[in-house]
Amino acid sequence: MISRTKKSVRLLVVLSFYFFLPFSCIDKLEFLEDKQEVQLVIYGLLTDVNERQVVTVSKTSAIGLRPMEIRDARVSLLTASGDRFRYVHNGLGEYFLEGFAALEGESYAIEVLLEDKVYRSNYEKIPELLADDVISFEFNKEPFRTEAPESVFTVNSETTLPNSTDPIYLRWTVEETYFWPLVYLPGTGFPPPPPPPCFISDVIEPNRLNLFDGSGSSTRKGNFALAKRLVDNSFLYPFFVSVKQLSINREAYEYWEKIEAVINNQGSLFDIPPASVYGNISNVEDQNERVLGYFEVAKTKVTRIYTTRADVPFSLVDPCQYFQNKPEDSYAAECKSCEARAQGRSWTNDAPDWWEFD
Amino acid sequence: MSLLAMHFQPSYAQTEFTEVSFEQGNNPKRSKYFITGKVTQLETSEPLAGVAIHIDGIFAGNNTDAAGQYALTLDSGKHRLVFREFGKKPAHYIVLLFGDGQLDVTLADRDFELEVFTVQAEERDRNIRSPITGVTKMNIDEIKLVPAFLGEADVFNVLQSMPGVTSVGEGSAGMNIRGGQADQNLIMMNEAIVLSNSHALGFLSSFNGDALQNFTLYKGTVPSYFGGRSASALNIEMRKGNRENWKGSASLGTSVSKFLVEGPIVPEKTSMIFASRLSNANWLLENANEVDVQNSKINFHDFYLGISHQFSENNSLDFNLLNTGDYFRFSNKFGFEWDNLVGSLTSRNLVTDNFSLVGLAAFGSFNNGFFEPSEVDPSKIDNGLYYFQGKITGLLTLEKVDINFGAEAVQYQMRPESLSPLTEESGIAAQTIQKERGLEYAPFVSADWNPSENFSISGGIRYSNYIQQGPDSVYRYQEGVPMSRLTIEGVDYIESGQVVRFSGFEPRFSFRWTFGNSSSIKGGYSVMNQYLQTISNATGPTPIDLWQLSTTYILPQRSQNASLGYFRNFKEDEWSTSLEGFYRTTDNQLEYRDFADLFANPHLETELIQGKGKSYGAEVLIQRNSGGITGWLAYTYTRSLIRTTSNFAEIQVNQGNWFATNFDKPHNISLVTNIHIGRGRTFNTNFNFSSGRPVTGLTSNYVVGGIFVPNFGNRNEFRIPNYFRIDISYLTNGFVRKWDDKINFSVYNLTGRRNAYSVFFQREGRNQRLVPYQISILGTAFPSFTYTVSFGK
Repeated sequence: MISRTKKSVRLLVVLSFYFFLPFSCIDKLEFLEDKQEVQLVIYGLLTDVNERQVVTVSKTSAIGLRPMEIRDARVSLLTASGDRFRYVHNGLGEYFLEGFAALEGESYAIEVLLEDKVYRSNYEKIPELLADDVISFEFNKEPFRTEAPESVFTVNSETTLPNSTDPIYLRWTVEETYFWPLVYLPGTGFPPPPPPPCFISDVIEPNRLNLFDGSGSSTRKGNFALAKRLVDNSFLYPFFVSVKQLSINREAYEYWEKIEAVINNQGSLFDIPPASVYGNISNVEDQNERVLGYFEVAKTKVTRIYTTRADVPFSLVDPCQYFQNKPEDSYAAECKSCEARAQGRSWTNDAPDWWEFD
Repeated sequence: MSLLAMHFQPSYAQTEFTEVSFEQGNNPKRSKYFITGKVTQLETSEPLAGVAIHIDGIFAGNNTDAAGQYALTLDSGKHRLVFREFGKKPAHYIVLLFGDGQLDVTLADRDFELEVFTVQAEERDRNIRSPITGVTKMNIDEIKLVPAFLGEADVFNVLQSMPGVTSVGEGSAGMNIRGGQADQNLIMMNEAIVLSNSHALGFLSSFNGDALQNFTLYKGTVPSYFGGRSASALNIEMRKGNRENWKGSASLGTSVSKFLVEGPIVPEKTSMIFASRLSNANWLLENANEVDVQNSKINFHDFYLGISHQFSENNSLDFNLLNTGDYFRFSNKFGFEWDNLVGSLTSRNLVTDNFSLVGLAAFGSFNNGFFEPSEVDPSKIDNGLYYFQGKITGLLTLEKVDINFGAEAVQYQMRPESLSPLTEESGIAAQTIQKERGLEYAPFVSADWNPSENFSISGGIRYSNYIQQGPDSVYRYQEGVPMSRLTIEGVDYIESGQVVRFSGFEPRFSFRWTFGNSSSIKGGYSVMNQYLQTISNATGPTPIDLWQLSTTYILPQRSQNASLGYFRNFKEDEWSTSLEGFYRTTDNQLEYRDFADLFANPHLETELIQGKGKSYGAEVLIQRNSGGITGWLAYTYTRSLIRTTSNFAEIQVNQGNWFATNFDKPHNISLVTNIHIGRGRTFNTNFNFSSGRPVTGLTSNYVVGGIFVPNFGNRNEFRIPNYFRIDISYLTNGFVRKWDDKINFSVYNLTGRRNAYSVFFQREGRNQRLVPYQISILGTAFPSFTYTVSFGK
């Protein structure tokens, strides 16, 4: 028989062993940055609308940092019929082809020359079909980026696919443009000239992917929210929403589906394991070099709606309201400068061509 | 029964064994004899019911009846009998059986302050003397001593604390045994196949501990009478109902409630047992901080019914029915539900003194649903399968050889996979994909030869056959390019008959060499084919994985397993230790192409890629079998790797190089301690440590079309942080003296450590840039309390 004392000591040792182990927890991951490799990223969109066509050339960067733009590439648009159009660099890793519209029936590719290497995309042809969009908006109190209800502006679409047996693959982007008047302060001249108005534009929810191909739908109709944003003083004045419908190829659609799977991965039990997403661009001489990005061509349709302060069911405060005795210096910068108000978004003093409302 | 001669020759060779001899005189020799007797309490001479009788190291379900009596039929020769009852000193006998005999036994109470517990499932030297390596066996009394999630005695929880058994992580269904995939384990209830076998995202097994007798896991050499999976076989024996008295128990817990009743339908002839288990965990979700969790639901249930009928001493029939199911809904985002039914009839017939037949007929049905109750176009995907299993096994017992032979067949019929609208308003178009059917059958034979007490050899062979039967649509693909939806050239529809056939011999071999009284070396080699596997592109196995038969393009898996072990016991088997090594290769192991689209896909082969798997490692087990503190320390080093073997570089994973599987966790340590305080009270702890599992990690980010996109490295290139968890439980008698009541208080993950399950990222800042984080399935201490009242005798 073992003595009582000996057993008590043994019991104490075992219990101590467990209860004094450190309590620990882990949150942010640090180990992932150890193996960072730099890869080339090329993305281009060519539409059938006579507008500025853009290709971006960059390199991957560490998590959380902006990609490194590449400024010394030579970018060309190639057609299957042998034409070549040169893109012009804007100095920020973006290459523009001004006033160009893709033609139906023609196939296009891009070619990027960089450090004596030639990167080329597959040839892509513009699809023929477009769908009908009925765009609407709503204001609600709902959780957005937090658990608490917030004032949210939502852009919705009711989309009807064409009566055709041909498949159609759609993607949408949503852009806002709002009017922002600068405060009219007393100045020189009689009467002093009014300050120029600001028209500020930005993509709403740039990281949301809106995809629809009608597969699995019995009605050939889709109702979905295309974009959401918080309601703020941007809605004090006319607020336009431009919904761009892009009809793209099946391969491009599948590319965006993979991107969607990657950006929506929440590490849950049921998530598809993530992987790198490769597109239709490759190094002509070295197929082993994996190039990220895609070159897509799209048939395009833009639908616009607008809202005014009268539609907003929430109270809005004008930060730039003029008071006669208020010192000029006490007005916020956004009241005196379009650039300060835009905070990096694109802006102009001229109203866009389509800026019309009742 | 005639008792011709009986004399006692006490000897104390090993563990206080008393030697008893029964001789038959001049009558002709028989191959089997009867031994009967009565077990009583030493101090009071009261008969003891339910005393477990272990024969040659194995507990095969023999217990004393209400009058303390027992009757055994044993082969002639030398046997070791041990009579065990919790809280009493066991009685050990060496029986020389050459005639019918009577052996009455008395058991004494233990008189220590710290109760001395003895591992009951096996003889303590069983690990040395059993003929094959890599076998783990345990009964419910030991299972109950391992702290578990929700305080539920659980087979899978115990197994994961034993060497060689791991899982992907908390919240993943299934186990990985010696580096094998979860679907490579053959899991059976009384030898009937059970396909879906876990509850609550894998935290619990579907087998109610109250109705469970014991389990046996073959992770090394699997005997030839088991087949169909390529890594291991786990047979869970459910309890038979009490044939003498009606009794039962009811439990109310903070998360699970249970009820059990058992008793004689026809006294001495027919008994039944019914056990049910229902979850009541939703109140926990409702009190969570997150709105999505508050709006979630989790329900699970299992019902077990067992009916046993004894036609005669030599003929019996058992009916077993198991129904299990889960419902889980995460807010209004997604959910799943499944229901599993397994029923079996088993007949056991002793045809002659040395020949017995066991027949099994079983039916299984598994229905699976995954739904998305979203506001726009809510939908549901259903799939499943049903199967019929038949098996007959003959056992011929000769003087030094036991010959086991028979045949097994399983007919699988997959249910159509259907996508359907969840509500009338949903715009989802209904879609149905027909699935396969197939027949798997195998004759088998094995022989256990014991030329001497110190040496034994087991050899067997199984010839497995598989026929995929029509109807099926077999797609034709362009040659010289990878199979994909774009390279489909046509489709052949086969209305009926054979679509494709596979077969193969599966040799099984093992040996044991015992030296001294306390050491042995065992080794084994086996080949196994697998024709049914799960298809899932989730991070780990889930309860709703799609079961998929082998087809023209999805080739059967074939594994070769080798293992070698050294076993040694100390201090008269108070301590048992083992060191085992293993190596396995698997052909045609399944892997997935990037972004595989598996739901409602009529040509799954375009999303899969098969390769070669290998796993290897070593296991150390140090176990204390008796004393005031029992338990074990297990360490496993294991690697599990895979390499895809396509002819096309563009679909190779990680350029065709070897890479770690999702469950490759090299270092695993478990320490289980049971402190027997006395009067039925035990304090138990379970310490778990394992290496972090591999994940596909973020390496960088980039922008396309204004979208910040995370860029991932090679598959499973990184590892999440190491896993560490402590569980405790305290088992004691209840508050009411007159009742037979018990309390189980347990805490799962005592330290509240947030063990990582996987890696994800969150968008932060105005540009919503990416920041990597880890997700923990259960990042808090999880206490539970269960109160059980037993009734009846």
